[in-house]
Amino acid sequence: MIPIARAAASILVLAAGCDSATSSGAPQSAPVTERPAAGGCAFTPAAIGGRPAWAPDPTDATTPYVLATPPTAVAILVAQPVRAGHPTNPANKVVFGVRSPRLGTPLRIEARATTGDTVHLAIPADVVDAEVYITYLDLPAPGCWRLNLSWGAPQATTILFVDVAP
Amino acid sequence: MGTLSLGFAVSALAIFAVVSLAGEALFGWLHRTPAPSLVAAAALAALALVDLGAFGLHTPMWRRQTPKQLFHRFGPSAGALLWGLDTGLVVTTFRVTSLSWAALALAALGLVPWWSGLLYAIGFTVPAAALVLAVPAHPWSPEDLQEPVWLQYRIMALEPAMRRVALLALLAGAATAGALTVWGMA
Repeated sequence: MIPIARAAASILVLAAGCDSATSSGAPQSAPVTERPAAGGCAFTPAAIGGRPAWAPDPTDATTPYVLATPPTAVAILVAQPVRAGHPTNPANKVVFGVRSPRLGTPLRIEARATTGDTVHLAIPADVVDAEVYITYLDLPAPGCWRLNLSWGAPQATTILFVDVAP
Repeated sequence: MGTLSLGFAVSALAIFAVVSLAGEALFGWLHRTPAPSLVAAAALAALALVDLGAFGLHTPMWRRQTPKQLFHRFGPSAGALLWGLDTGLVVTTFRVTSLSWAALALAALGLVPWWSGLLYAIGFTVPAAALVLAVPAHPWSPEDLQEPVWLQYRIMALEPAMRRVALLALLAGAATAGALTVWGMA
Protein backbone atom coordinates (compact mmCIF):
# COMPACT_ATOMS: atom_id res chain seq x y z
CA MET A 1 0.00 0.00 0.00
CA ILE A 2 2.75 2.42 0.95
CA PRO A 3 4.32 2.77 -2.55
CA ILE A 4 0.90 3.48 -4.10
CA ALA A 5 0.05 5.98 -1.39
CA ARG A 6 3.40 7.71 -1.80
CA ALA A 7 3.07 7.86 -5.57
CA ALA A 8 -0.42 9.35 -5.40
CA ALA A 9 0.62 11.80 -2.71
CA SER A 10 3.73 12.81 -4.65
CA ILE A 11 1.64 13.62 -7.72
CA LEU A 12 -0.49 15.90 -5.60
CA VAL A 13 2.62 17.61 -4.19
CA LEU A 14 3.93 18.10 -7.73
CA ALA A 15 0.63 19.66 -8.79
CA ALA A 16 0.62 21.86 -5.69
CA GLY A 17 3.75 23.59 -6.99
CA CYS A 18 1.59 25.18 -9.67
CA ASP A 19 -0.41 26.81 -6.90
CA SER A 20 2.48 29.23 -6.53
CA ALA A 21 2.81 29.94 -10.21
CA THR A 22 -0.17 32.24 -10.39
CA SER A 23 -0.25 33.45 -6.82
CA SER A 24 1.61 36.65 -7.56
CA GLY A 25 -1.27 37.73 -9.74
CA ALA A 26 -3.72 37.81 -6.89
CA PRO A 27 -4.98 41.23 -6.00
CA GLN A 28 -3.85 43.18 -2.97
CA SER A 29 -6.75 44.29 -0.86
CA ALA A 30 -5.68 47.33 1.12
CA PRO A 31 -6.66 50.75 -0.29
CA VAL A 32 -3.69 52.95 -1.10
CA THR A 33 -3.38 56.71 -0.84
CA GLU A 34 -1.71 58.71 -3.58
CA ARG A 35 1.73 60.30 -3.14
CA PRO A 36 3.98 62.16 -5.60
CA ALA A 37 6.65 60.33 -7.58
CA ALA A 38 9.24 61.00 -10.24
CA GLY A 39 8.47 60.22 -13.88
CA GLY A 40 5.87 62.77 -14.91
CA CYS A 41 6.33 66.44 -15.78
CA ALA A 42 4.51 69.60 -16.86
CA PHE A 43 0.75 69.22 -16.33
CA THR A 44 0.80 65.52 -15.50
CA PRO A 45 2.98 64.72 -12.50
CA ALA A 46 3.57 61.09 -11.60
CA ALA A 47 2.12 59.49 -8.51
CA ILE A 48 2.29 56.26 -6.57
CA GLY A 49 -0.90 54.76 -5.17
CA GLY A 50 -4.45 55.97 -5.69
CA ARG A 51 -4.57 54.67 -9.24
CA PRO A 52 -8.05 54.97 -10.86
CA ALA A 53 -10.28 51.92 -10.47
CA TRP A 54 -10.45 51.40 -14.25
CA ALA A 55 -6.65 51.26 -14.53
CA PRO A 56 -4.67 48.00 -14.33
CA ASP A 57 -3.78 46.86 -10.79
CA PRO A 58 -5.55 49.79 -9.10
CA THR A 59 -4.20 48.82 -5.66
CA ASP A 60 -0.56 48.74 -6.76
CA ALA A 61 1.27 50.83 -4.17
CA THR A 62 4.78 50.62 -5.59
CA THR A 63 4.78 51.48 -9.30
CA PRO A 64 4.61 55.15 -10.40
CA TYR A 65 2.03 56.17 -12.97
CA VAL A 66 1.10 59.27 -14.90
CA LEU A 67 -2.57 60.08 -15.33
CA ALA A 68 -3.41 61.76 -18.62
CA THR A 69 -5.49 64.88 -19.05
CA PRO A 70 -8.36 64.35 -19.61
CA PRO A 71 -8.04 61.34 -17.30
CA THR A 72 -8.88 58.64 -19.83
CA ALA A 73 -5.50 56.94 -19.96
CA VAL A 74 -2.68 56.16 -17.60
CA ALA A 75 0.99 55.40 -18.23
CA ILE A 76 2.34 52.96 -15.66
CA LEU A 77 6.09 53.40 -15.45
CA VAL A 78 7.28 49.87 -14.81
CA ALA A 79 10.78 51.04 -15.66
CA GLN A 80 12.00 53.72 -13.29
CA PRO A 81 13.13 56.07 -14.69
CA VAL A 82 12.31 56.02 -18.38
CA ARG A 83 15.68 56.64 -20.03
CA ALA A 84 16.62 58.16 -23.37
CA GLY A 85 17.60 55.89 -26.24
CA HIS A 86 17.10 52.15 -26.26
CA PRO A 87 18.23 51.06 -22.79
CA THR A 88 18.25 47.48 -21.59
CA ASN A 89 18.40 45.94 -18.13
CA PRO A 90 16.09 47.50 -17.36
CA ALA A 91 14.33 48.39 -20.58
CA ASN A 92 11.80 51.24 -20.72
CA LYS A 93 8.75 49.10 -20.06
CA VAL A 94 5.57 51.16 -19.86
CA VAL A 95 1.98 49.91 -19.59
CA PHE A 96 -0.65 52.23 -21.01
CA GLY A 97 -4.08 51.61 -19.54
CA VAL A 98 -7.02 53.18 -21.34
CA ARG A 99 -10.47 53.86 -19.98
CA SER A 100 -12.51 53.32 -23.14
CA PRO A 101 -12.36 50.06 -25.14
CA ARG A 102 -9.50 49.56 -27.56
CA LEU A 103 -11.74 47.69 -30.00
CA GLY A 104 -8.69 46.10 -31.51
CA THR A 105 -7.17 49.38 -32.54
CA PRO A 106 -3.53 50.21 -31.87
CA LEU A 107 -2.50 52.93 -29.48
CA ARG A 108 -0.98 55.70 -31.56
CA ILE A 109 1.45 57.98 -29.78
CA GLU A 110 2.78 61.24 -31.10
CA ALA A 111 5.64 62.10 -28.77
CA ARG A 112 6.93 65.66 -28.95
CA ALA A 113 9.95 66.99 -27.09
CA THR A 114 10.32 70.61 -25.98
CA THR A 115 12.95 70.93 -28.71
CA GLY A 116 10.32 70.12 -31.32
CA ASP A 117 11.60 66.63 -32.08
CA THR A 118 8.69 64.32 -32.82
CA VAL A 119 8.43 60.55 -32.70
CA HIS A 120 5.45 58.48 -33.84
CA LEU A 121 4.74 55.08 -32.25
CA ALA A 122 1.99 52.51 -32.80
CA ILE A 123 1.40 49.83 -30.18
CA PRO A 124 -0.82 46.90 -31.20
CA ALA A 125 -3.80 45.89 -29.03
CA ASP A 126 -2.46 42.39 -28.50
CA VAL A 127 -2.96 42.01 -24.75
CA VAL A 128 -6.10 39.99 -24.11
CA ASP A 129 -8.61 40.52 -21.31
CA ALA A 130 -7.38 43.97 -20.33
CA GLU A 131 -7.63 47.43 -21.84
CA VAL A 132 -3.89 47.93 -21.86
CA TYR A 133 -1.06 48.41 -24.30
CA ILE A 134 2.40 47.28 -23.27
CA THR A 135 5.53 48.60 -24.88
CA TYR A 136 9.01 49.88 -24.36
CA LEU A 137 8.85 53.64 -24.55
CA ASP A 138 12.13 54.46 -26.23
CA LEU A 139 12.50 58.17 -26.95
CA PRO A 140 15.69 59.58 -28.43
CA ALA A 141 16.54 62.39 -26.02
CA PRO A 142 16.12 63.28 -22.34
CA GLY A 143 13.64 65.91 -21.23
CA CYS A 144 9.91 66.40 -20.80
CA TRP A 145 8.04 64.71 -23.64
CA ARG A 146 4.40 65.40 -24.43
CA LEU A 147 2.59 62.26 -25.55
CA ASN A 148 -0.59 62.62 -27.59
CA LEU A 149 -2.40 59.31 -27.28
CA SER A 150 -5.19 58.09 -29.53
CA TRP A 151 -7.02 54.76 -29.72
CA GLY A 152 -10.44 53.19 -30.21
CA ALA A 153 -13.28 53.84 -32.61
CA PRO A 154 -14.51 56.53 -32.49
CA GLN A 155 -11.08 57.70 -31.65
CA ALA A 156 -10.36 58.75 -28.07
CA THR A 157 -7.51 61.17 -27.47
CA THR A 158 -5.68 62.42 -24.43
CA ILE A 159 -2.34 63.92 -23.44
CA LEU A 160 0.27 63.11 -20.84
CA PHE A 161 3.83 64.20 -20.17
CA VAL A 162 6.69 61.87 -19.34
CA ASP A 163 10.07 62.83 -17.96
CA VAL A 164 12.84 61.03 -19.83
CA ALA A 165 16.12 60.72 -17.98
CA PRO A 166 19.53 60.75 -19.73
CA MET B 1 15.07 32.20 -14.09
CA GLY B 2 17.90 30.04 -12.78
CA THR B 3 18.39 31.95 -9.55
CA LEU B 4 14.64 32.20 -8.99
CA SER B 5 14.32 28.43 -9.41
CA LEU B 6 17.29 27.81 -7.13
CA GLY B 7 15.82 29.98 -4.40
CA PHE B 8 12.41 28.39 -4.79
CA ALA B 9 13.84 24.86 -4.62
CA VAL B 10 15.98 25.58 -1.54
CA SER B 11 13.04 27.09 0.33
CA ALA B 12 10.59 24.40 -0.70
CA LEU B 13 13.02 21.65 0.22
CA ALA B 14 13.61 23.26 3.61
CA ILE B 15 9.96 23.85 4.50
CA PHE B 16 8.87 20.35 3.47
CA ALA B 17 11.81 18.83 5.37
CA VAL B 18 10.92 20.77 8.52
CA VAL B 19 7.24 19.80 8.25
CA SER B 20 8.20 16.15 7.63
CA LEU B 21 10.50 16.10 10.65
CA ALA B 22 7.85 17.71 12.83
CA GLY B 23 5.29 15.22 11.55
CA GLU B 24 7.67 12.34 12.21
CA ALA B 25 8.14 13.51 15.78
CA LEU B 26 4.41 13.93 16.38
CA PHE B 27 2.85 11.15 14.31
CA GLY B 28 5.76 8.80 13.62
CA TRP B 29 4.28 6.07 15.76
CA LEU B 30 1.24 5.95 13.42
CA HIS B 31 3.18 5.52 10.19
CA ARG B 32 2.77 1.75 9.99
CA THR B 33 -0.98 1.97 10.51
CA PRO B 34 -3.84 3.10 8.19
CA ALA B 35 -4.27 6.22 10.34
CA PRO B 36 -2.21 8.63 8.16
CA SER B 37 -4.27 7.77 5.08
CA LEU B 38 -7.48 8.23 7.06
CA VAL B 39 -6.36 11.62 8.35
CA ALA B 40 -5.17 12.61 4.85
CA ALA B 41 -8.57 11.70 3.39
CA ALA B 42 -10.31 13.85 5.98
CA ALA B 43 -7.87 16.75 5.56
CA LEU B 44 -8.07 16.79 1.76
CA ALA B 45 -11.86 16.57 1.85
CA ALA B 46 -11.95 19.45 4.34
CA LEU B 47 -9.65 21.56 2.14
CA ALA B 48 -11.87 20.82 -0.86
CA LEU B 49 -14.84 22.12 1.14
CA VAL B 50 -12.87 25.23 2.07
CA ASP B 51 -11.99 25.89 -1.58
CA LEU B 52 -15.64 25.42 -2.48
CA GLY B 53 -16.48 28.24 -0.08
CA ALA B 54 -18.52 26.03 2.20
CA PHE B 55 -19.67 27.72 5.42
CA GLY B 56 -18.33 31.03 4.12
CA LEU B 57 -14.74 29.75 4.32
CA HIS B 58 -11.96 30.84 1.99
CA THR B 59 -8.60 29.37 1.03
CA PRO B 60 -6.35 30.11 4.01
CA MET B 61 -3.35 32.23 3.11
CA TRP B 62 -1.14 35.08 4.10
CA ARG B 63 -2.37 37.81 1.75
CA ARG B 64 1.07 39.03 0.86
CA GLN B 65 3.18 39.35 -2.26
CA THR B 66 6.95 39.32 -2.47
CA PRO B 67 7.94 43.02 -2.53
CA LYS B 68 8.76 44.26 -6.02
CA GLN B 69 11.39 46.56 -4.51
CA LEU B 70 13.68 43.55 -4.08
CA PHE B 71 14.64 43.83 -7.74
CA HIS B 72 15.36 47.54 -7.51
CA ARG B 73 17.25 47.20 -4.24
CA PHE B 74 19.32 44.10 -4.92
CA GLY B 75 19.42 43.85 -8.72
CA PRO B 76 18.01 41.19 -11.07
CA SER B 77 20.04 38.16 -9.88
CA ALA B 78 19.91 38.64 -6.12
CA GLY B 79 16.35 39.95 -6.39
CA ALA B 80 15.26 36.82 -8.28
CA LEU B 81 17.00 34.61 -5.72
CA LEU B 82 15.26 36.37 -2.84
CA TRP B 83 11.95 36.21 -4.72
CA GLY B 84 12.40 32.44 -5.13
CA LEU B 85 13.39 31.97 -1.50
CA ASP B 86 10.24 33.81 -0.43
CA THR B 87 7.71 32.15 -2.73
CA GLY B 88 9.23 28.70 -2.18
CA LEU B 89 8.40 28.95 1.52
CA VAL B 90 4.81 28.08 0.54
CA VAL B 91 3.18 29.91 3.44
CA THR B 92 4.37 33.48 2.92
CA THR B 93 2.51 34.55 -0.23
CA PHE B 94 -0.91 34.38 -1.89
CA ARG B 95 -2.35 30.93 -2.65
CA VAL B 96 -4.81 30.34 -5.45
CA THR B 97 -6.08 27.08 -3.97
CA SER B 98 -5.51 24.86 -0.93
CA LEU B 99 -3.31 22.41 -2.84
CA SER B 100 -0.21 23.75 -1.10
CA TRP B 101 -1.74 23.10 2.33
CA ALA B 102 -2.71 19.61 1.18
CA ALA B 103 0.89 18.97 0.13
CA LEU B 104 2.21 20.11 3.51
CA ALA B 105 -0.38 17.95 5.28
CA LEU B 106 0.79 14.91 3.31
CA ALA B 107 4.38 15.72 4.30
CA ALA B 108 3.42 16.01 7.97
CA LEU B 109 1.63 12.67 7.79
CA GLY B 110 4.66 10.96 6.29
CA LEU B 111 2.85 10.08 3.06
CA VAL B 112 5.52 11.79 0.96
CA PRO B 113 9.29 11.68 1.56
CA TRP B 114 11.07 14.52 3.39
CA TRP B 115 12.61 15.73 0.13
CA SER B 116 9.22 16.14 -1.56
CA GLY B 117 9.81 19.89 -1.53
CA LEU B 118 11.86 19.21 -4.65
CA LEU B 119 8.74 17.82 -6.33
CA TYR B 120 6.85 20.93 -5.27
CA ALA B 121 9.64 23.05 -6.73
CA ILE B 122 9.56 21.10 -10.00
CA GLY B 123 5.82 21.72 -10.17
CA PHE B 124 6.54 25.44 -10.12
CA THR B 125 9.87 25.90 -11.85
CA VAL B 126 9.46 23.62 -14.87
CA PRO B 127 6.20 25.20 -16.11
CA ALA B 128 7.52 28.67 -15.26
CA ALA B 129 10.78 28.04 -17.12
CA ALA B 130 8.84 26.69 -20.09
CA LEU B 131 6.74 29.84 -20.15
CA VAL B 132 9.74 32.13 -19.92
CA LEU B 133 12.11 30.28 -22.24
CA ALA B 134 9.85 28.70 -24.83
CA VAL B 135 7.08 31.24 -25.33
CA PRO B 136 7.78 34.03 -27.80
CA ALA B 137 7.91 37.41 -26.13
CA HIS B 138 5.53 39.22 -28.41
CA PRO B 139 4.53 37.05 -31.33
CA TRP B 140 2.31 39.54 -33.11
CA SER B 141 4.41 42.60 -32.82
CA PRO B 142 7.38 43.73 -34.90
CA GLU B 143 8.73 45.37 -31.75
CA ASP B 144 11.46 43.56 -29.88
CA LEU B 145 9.70 43.12 -26.55
CA GLN B 146 11.52 40.97 -24.03
CA GLU B 147 8.76 39.51 -21.86
CA PRO B 148 5.70 37.38 -22.68
CA VAL B 149 3.47 39.79 -20.80
CA TRP B 150 0.52 38.83 -22.96
CA LEU B 151 0.77 35.32 -21.52
CA GLN B 152 0.38 36.61 -17.96
CA TYR B 153 -3.06 37.96 -18.85
CA ARG B 154 -4.05 34.68 -20.46
CA ILE B 155 -2.93 32.71 -17.39
CA MET B 156 -4.87 35.03 -15.12
CA ALA B 157 -7.93 34.42 -17.30
CA LEU B 158 -7.46 30.69 -16.70
CA GLU B 159 -7.62 31.07 -12.91
CA PRO B 160 -11.27 29.88 -12.54
CA ALA B 161 -10.47 26.75 -14.55
CA MET B 162 -7.37 26.14 -12.42
CA ARG B 163 -9.48 26.37 -9.27
CA ARG B 164 -11.79 23.68 -10.63
CA VAL B 165 -8.87 21.43 -11.55
CA ALA B 166 -7.36 21.90 -8.08
CA LEU B 167 -10.70 21.05 -6.50
CA LEU B 168 -10.88 17.87 -8.52
CA ALA B 169 -7.31 17.02 -7.46
CA LEU B 170 -8.20 17.49 -3.80
CA LEU B 171 -11.31 15.33 -4.13
CA ALA B 172 -9.40 12.66 -6.06
CA GLY B 173 -6.68 12.72 -3.40
CA ALA B 174 -9.24 12.39 -0.64
CA ALA B 175 -10.92 9.48 -2.42
CA THR B 176 -7.58 7.76 -3.04
CA ALA B 177 -6.51 8.20 0.58
CA GLY B 178 -9.89 6.87 1.73
CA ALA B 179 -9.60 3.84 -0.52
CA LEU B 180 -6.08 3.14 0.71
CA THR B 181 -7.32 3.36 4.29
CA VAL B 182 -9.96 0.72 3.63
CA TRP B 183 -7.41 -1.39 1.78
CA GLY B 184 -4.98 -1.11 4.70
CA MET B 185 -7.63 -2.15 7.18
CA ALA B 186 -8.71 -5.13 5.12
